[in-house]
Amino acid sequence: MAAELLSVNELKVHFHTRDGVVKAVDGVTYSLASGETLGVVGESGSGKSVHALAMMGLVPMPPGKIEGGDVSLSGRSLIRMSENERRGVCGNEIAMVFQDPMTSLNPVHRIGHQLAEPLRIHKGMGRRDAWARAGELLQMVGIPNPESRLNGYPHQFSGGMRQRVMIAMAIACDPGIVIADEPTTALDATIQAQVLELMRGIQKRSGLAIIMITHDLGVIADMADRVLVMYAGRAVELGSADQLFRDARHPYTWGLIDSLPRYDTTEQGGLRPIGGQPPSLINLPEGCSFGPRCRYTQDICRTSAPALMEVEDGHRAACHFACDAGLRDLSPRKHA
Amino acid sequence: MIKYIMRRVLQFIPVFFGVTLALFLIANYMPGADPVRMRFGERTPSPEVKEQLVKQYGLDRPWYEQYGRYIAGLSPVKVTDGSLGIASPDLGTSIYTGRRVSAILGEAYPYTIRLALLAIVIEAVFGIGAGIISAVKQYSFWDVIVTLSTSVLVSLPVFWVGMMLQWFFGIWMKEATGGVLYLPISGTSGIFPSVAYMILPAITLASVSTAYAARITRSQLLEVMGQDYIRTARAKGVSERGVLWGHALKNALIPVVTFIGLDLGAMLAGAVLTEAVFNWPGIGFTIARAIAQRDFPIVFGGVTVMLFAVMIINLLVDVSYALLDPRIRYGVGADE
Amino acid sequence: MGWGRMSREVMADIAEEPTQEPTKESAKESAEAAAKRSRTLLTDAWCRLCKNRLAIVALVWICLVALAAITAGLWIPANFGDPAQIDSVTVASQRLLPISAKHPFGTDDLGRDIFGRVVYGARVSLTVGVLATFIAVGIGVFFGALAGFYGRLIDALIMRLTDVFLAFPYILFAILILAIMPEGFRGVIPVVLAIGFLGWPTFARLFRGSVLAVKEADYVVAGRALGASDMRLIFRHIAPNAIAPVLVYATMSIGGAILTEAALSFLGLGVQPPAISWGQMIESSRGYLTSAPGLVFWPGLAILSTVLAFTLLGDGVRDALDVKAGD
Repeated sequence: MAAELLSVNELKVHFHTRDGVVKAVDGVTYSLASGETLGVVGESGSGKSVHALAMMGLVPMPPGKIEGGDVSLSGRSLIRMSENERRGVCGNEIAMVFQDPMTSLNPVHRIGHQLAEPLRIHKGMGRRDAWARAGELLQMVGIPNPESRLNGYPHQFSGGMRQRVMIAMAIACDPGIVIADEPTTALDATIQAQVLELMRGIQKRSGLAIIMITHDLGVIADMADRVLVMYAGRAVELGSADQLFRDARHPYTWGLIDSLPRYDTTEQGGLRPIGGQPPSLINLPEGCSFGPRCRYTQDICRTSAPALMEVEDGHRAACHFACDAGLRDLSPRKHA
Repeated sequence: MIKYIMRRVLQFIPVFFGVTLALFLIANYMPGADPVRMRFGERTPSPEVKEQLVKQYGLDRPWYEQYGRYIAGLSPVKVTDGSLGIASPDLGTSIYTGRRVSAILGEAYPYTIRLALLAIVIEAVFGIGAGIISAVKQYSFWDVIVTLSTSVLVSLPVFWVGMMLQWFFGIWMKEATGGVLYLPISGTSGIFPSVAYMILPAITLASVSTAYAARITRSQLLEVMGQDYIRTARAKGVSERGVLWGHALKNALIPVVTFIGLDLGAMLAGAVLTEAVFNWPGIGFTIARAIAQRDFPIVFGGVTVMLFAVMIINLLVDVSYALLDPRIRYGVGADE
Repeated sequence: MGWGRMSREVMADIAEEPTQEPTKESAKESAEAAAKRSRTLLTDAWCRLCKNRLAIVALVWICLVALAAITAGLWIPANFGDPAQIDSVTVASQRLLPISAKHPFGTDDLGRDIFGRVVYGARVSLTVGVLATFIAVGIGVFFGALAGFYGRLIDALIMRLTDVFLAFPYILFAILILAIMPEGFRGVIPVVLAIGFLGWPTFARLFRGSVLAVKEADYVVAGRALGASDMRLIFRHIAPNAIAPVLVYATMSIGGAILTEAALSFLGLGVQPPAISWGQMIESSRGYLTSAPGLVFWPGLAILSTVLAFTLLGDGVRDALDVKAGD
């Protein structure tokens, strides 16, 4: 494995609202090596997007506040650096692709202008050079006639094309890391596959690391080297994609895998959704936060919160019974 | 774009005929003093003279005939002796003074235009400025000041503002500085009144609109600052200043420009109250006096010119809207 | 000024008001839920309004002004003299007196107490404000409902009519209408009629917009599918949900109508002496701006404070009724 590029350590992001403190991200730890793809998966409200926004300094404060923990990029703390320093890093060394390409591009600026902007800010390029480079970037993300398209406005592009533009914008300054926040959720299924293919191609060529945030395990299976499963602001399982799909240890991960449509199942009933609702982030249940929805809840789950424990090399899970062979046999995959 | 302008012009036609026709009907059934008697005041004209005047102005004809004659007079294309010709539009002559309406309006309009332009500058500068400060520093001391003062401004009687300004800058200040420093409180000086004469009327005229411009700027800017593309800009590493001036303002100001443009139209239609307070011989004053004197040719002529002026301003607003917003300039809809 | 200007901003402000999330219940349930929701909506709105300190101050001020105006006859003449009568014996010694305990705002050029006249002036202002708004709301909601519900030709006709009304400069239109009132017909009633008549197009557009928005909501479509009659649909389902923006704008309109009345009286077209109105007080004091600015100042302050109260109350009502904020 290559050198560690990004490390997230016990990151906590809370929102102070009128109704109480929302613990959107409550202690997340992981690291990312260059060239690697980390999939971050969880339901909406699990904190997967918020933790990424916090790294980029995009969480509105107030009401948001980083309550603790640290994120370091090549040894520098993204949390403690000055506003100015962070601006020099964002878009340059770490960039982000957002969920909704329809609203993420400024409607009144030309595509070329928006693509050239990070180049002019971070690389000090002149107007003309940046514009020329923007054309190359459009070519790179597979948009035909890049020269004329640079003069176009976002509304003249389809959703898939706009997401390609967003990706081009993210890789403009050749960053080490691209965070993709549900990049394909708003797109048609066929376009989704094309966009993922494009990202894989770029990664292969430039060796960038990708944090792929999604609720879609299909995307994870397609893209990720390693997977972080988040639930209610916490990491509940972390491991290689292979480890997770072969031998998940957390009942929530089982639930996610189970709720995937499968073609090879002989089981009756088909899809199995996870019952219940995600907990309120203001009043987290005592003990394991997944406890109330877990089919295998024991007494200990109601009183003490499980810590992440190493179950095999590089595979950790936050369940009291992660190492319990007996319970593991209940994993639905074993029956399949 | 051309199609868009054509549609606007077509929409204007029923409004134009609706307003002028309504005016004619009102005038035809208007009780009270008859216009001919108004011209002679206390003196009683001889029946022959009276008869001649009535004939001359066509007051003995039914209303639809009068209306037809009026519209025919307006038309630049005229049928004379069975052949088509071009002539300048004819607005008729004043019953009260016998002067040509076009000459009377030609005297009044420069005053109205000068006042309106200065008022619009005040409105744009202070309204947009206050709105930006208020939105950028939301919930701060300055925001509260701006929000409260806009509420006060929109609740002020315009004529009272004018009189209080007259009192403060024209009377109190003159006394306090021993006649050195003050602003003239009414009237004009010749055909090119010095700016000093225009300041108080322009502030008065601008007062209410400035408050609305500030409110609209504030709410638009706050809305735009919450948009996804602003987040994208921040993620690119654009500075807060760059986000405001480069990304947010152009989007936020589109509706503000519309409002200010429409307001210019409203001001060109005459500021009866401001003009009454400052004895400003503009169009509103002229029409209001003509209504009181039943001098209908001036009322009709004035309203006609006013309608065209407002229509042209509205067209200009639409065009500027299109220049600012590429979605309108190029038509909405992706081309894939 | 007045409604003409205000309307534009308010339209922009509350145009996309309460389109509620469509419910997925069965048609009948949701129809009842809609009616119930509009009741709880009002209770909720009232609670939210009570938390808005500025709006409550405004409401209290409006109540005080109204109370003073209603009871004026009981205490003003006894303490401050008849506000409309000129006493020819004392006028020379009593005119243009400065502020004192006996005359809180001083006296005017004809020796009358200004405070007493300002209190009496509130009668005309509040009457005109409320009655004119009622007329405007009545006509506007009627035409707005017709346009919104029946659409097509009726809609097009009514909307063109509102175009014609709004194309005309507001104050000039009011002057013209007052000018065509029969001779001798002067005072409060023609002013109310003129202002009310000019105010309807904005309400019509507002209500039409709400009706169109609500009309497509699931529970109304469901109601139509169940065969509910048009009238029943309008009054039972659409009206309660579409009325919120009208209520907000009506509150602000009262202030606008007071401003317009003052302007018309200032131009000498409104209430005629001996009746008292704030605008007319200012008009008759124009010559005293140099020697006695108080004559202009106090009635203007009365207009400002009353209109401001309605503006703030309107803002409060808007925030309180904002369905989006409640969700």
